[in-house]
Amino acid sequence: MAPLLSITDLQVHFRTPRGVSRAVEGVSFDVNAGETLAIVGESGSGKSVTSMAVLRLLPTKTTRVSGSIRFEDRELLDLSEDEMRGIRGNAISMIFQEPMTALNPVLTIGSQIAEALMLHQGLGKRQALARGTEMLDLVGIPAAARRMSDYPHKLSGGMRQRVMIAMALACEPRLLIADEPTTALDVSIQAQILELMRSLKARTGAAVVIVTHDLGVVAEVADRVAVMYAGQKIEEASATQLFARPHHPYTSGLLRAMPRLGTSLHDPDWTLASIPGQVPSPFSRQEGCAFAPRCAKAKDVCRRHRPALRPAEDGHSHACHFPDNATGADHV
Amino acid sequence: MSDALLCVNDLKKRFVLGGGILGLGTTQEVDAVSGVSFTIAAGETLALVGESGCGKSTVGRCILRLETPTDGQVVLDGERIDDLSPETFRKLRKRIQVVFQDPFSSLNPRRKIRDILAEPLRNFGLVRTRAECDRKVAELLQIVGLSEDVAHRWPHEFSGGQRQRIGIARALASDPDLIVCDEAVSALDVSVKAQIVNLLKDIQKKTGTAFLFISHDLAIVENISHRVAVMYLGKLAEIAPREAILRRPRHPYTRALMSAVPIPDPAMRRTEPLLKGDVPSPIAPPSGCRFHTRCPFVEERCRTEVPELRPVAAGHLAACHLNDLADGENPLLSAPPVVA
Repeated sequence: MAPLLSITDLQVHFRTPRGVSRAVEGVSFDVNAGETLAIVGESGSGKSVTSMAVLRLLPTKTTRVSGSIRFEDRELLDLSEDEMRGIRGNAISMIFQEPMTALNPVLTIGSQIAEALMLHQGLGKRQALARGTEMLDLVGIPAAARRMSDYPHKLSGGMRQRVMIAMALACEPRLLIADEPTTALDVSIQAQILELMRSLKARTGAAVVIVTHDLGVVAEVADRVAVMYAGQKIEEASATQLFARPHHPYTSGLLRAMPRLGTSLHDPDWTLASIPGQVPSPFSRQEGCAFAPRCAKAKDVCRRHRPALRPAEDGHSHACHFPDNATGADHV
Repeated sequence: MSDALLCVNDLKKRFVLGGGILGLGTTQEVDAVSGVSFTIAAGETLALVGESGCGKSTVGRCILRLETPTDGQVVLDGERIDDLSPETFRKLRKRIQVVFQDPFSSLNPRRKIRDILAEPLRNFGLVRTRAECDRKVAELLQIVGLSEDVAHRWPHEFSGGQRQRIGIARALASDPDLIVCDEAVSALDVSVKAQIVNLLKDIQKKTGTAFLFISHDLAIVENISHRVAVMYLGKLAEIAPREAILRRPRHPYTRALMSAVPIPDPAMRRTEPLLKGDVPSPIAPPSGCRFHTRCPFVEERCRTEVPELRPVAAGHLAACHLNDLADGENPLLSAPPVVA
């Protein structure tokens, strides 16, 4: 079966007063119907830009996007702006990090949910409002009917994110893109929202691309994971594989740096592992592997030749000359 | 406790909201902090943990006198500092410093790193000559793991983690006894966050500076603190040594916070039921125990009677009626531990 979304050799460059920022440099991945793919990376890795590129939300004047983004047999990069509008919020919808800025403060919750339903599904106002109330109910908002006439400022952060999810799912999209959906929320609310996303996915069967920096969130929701670093995909695997046997030293490093509650109790001299150095600037991409300056295993070849993404076992792939945990690695 | 470096006694902070234009509208009062007490010993790290709106940052700001407390006392080395005039407090500022959350807004973009670090040195009269100042700036940069030549660069040339190092260097300039770290690592990337946590621990070992580490992230707090205080809606729910609170939390809220921390392992599933609902508004906090609206163990008594923060074990205080029960009947003691 053809994948729902297929991204091939995506490149995104921004023209800025400081020069050209190479935000995404040749990223490819597929998303199958009904699966959850997590794109993980730190700030500047290009993970958010990749997800914005899918919906063509990047400023057209200063951005150069190349490569291919195919969604259900259509090349999104070739569509007209009108055709794109028919897809956004309908076949593909998006949830953003900050629900307060993503909601319109001067419109009621109800009119914001109803708008998409009237536009894309051709519902009348009354039907759209009724469907909107159902959606609010579905995402666990108490007294949904009353909430429809509230303005966004009357809701807490967690409730606003629920509203965003209700809006995003109202038109039954085939793909939901969630960019750091729980980063601005408290942990107890984050846990609720992740639980909600899991149960809604099971009910609606929508594929989900979740963009996050938090491996804890990845472990909770993802089927498959793509790890990005400095504008490139450096590893991809099933979530189980990635956590159990990371191949790229950056992924291994991230996993070690992620604090786990209670670890220090077993070892009085416990210190948190860190990755030395800084994420490289998108303005000056160097030769060789982008992670080499921070990598303990880096050798000369890493600094000269950028490793290509190569397949390992079970759909696992990585871009490293000297991978961790790999069986029969073909060293250069 | 007379050997405490800092003593906070029954601290209260009330904000007045609204009032409209010219103060003609109606006003509401919100008790951001309603009676918080704790101590910090010299060289110790106390973590203050809670969700947004619990008042943890307000406590920090009251200690720093960025807010004036409504009631209660802040005592530094046996001397009350909450009622000092701003001028007198200025002299004390070199003993209590701060590192803020956002390394992008806390450094003046129009000043070079050297000038950012030289300002506290000169203000507190810690250096006399230019050469002395340069030497001290170089020393501070070295402590936080930056090279000497960054002194002549501008803040925008640095990444978030490097800026946070500069912020820490600035806090260290006056050789303070206490640094309030308000979400100091929250905005940083995972790989860099660990660097800064380890840097703070190293600095403490070398200089003996005490930290009040304000954070919402229990997994990070575990890696830096000696003791942990948990706040909920303006009050302390629990305060205990790090290990005691992790192994055996004595407040249902602490337990809930711990079990909400995501586990970076897809093979592990959380077993603990999730906290329901949101934090209630601090403008009209619930009666009785403020946590009773979300507590899985709630009883009739919790709705009316405010639980006192009282000792449950050595150095361990908790504000929950469950701890009045015999050990065998206390569900907090019989439940399986959250962290194995």
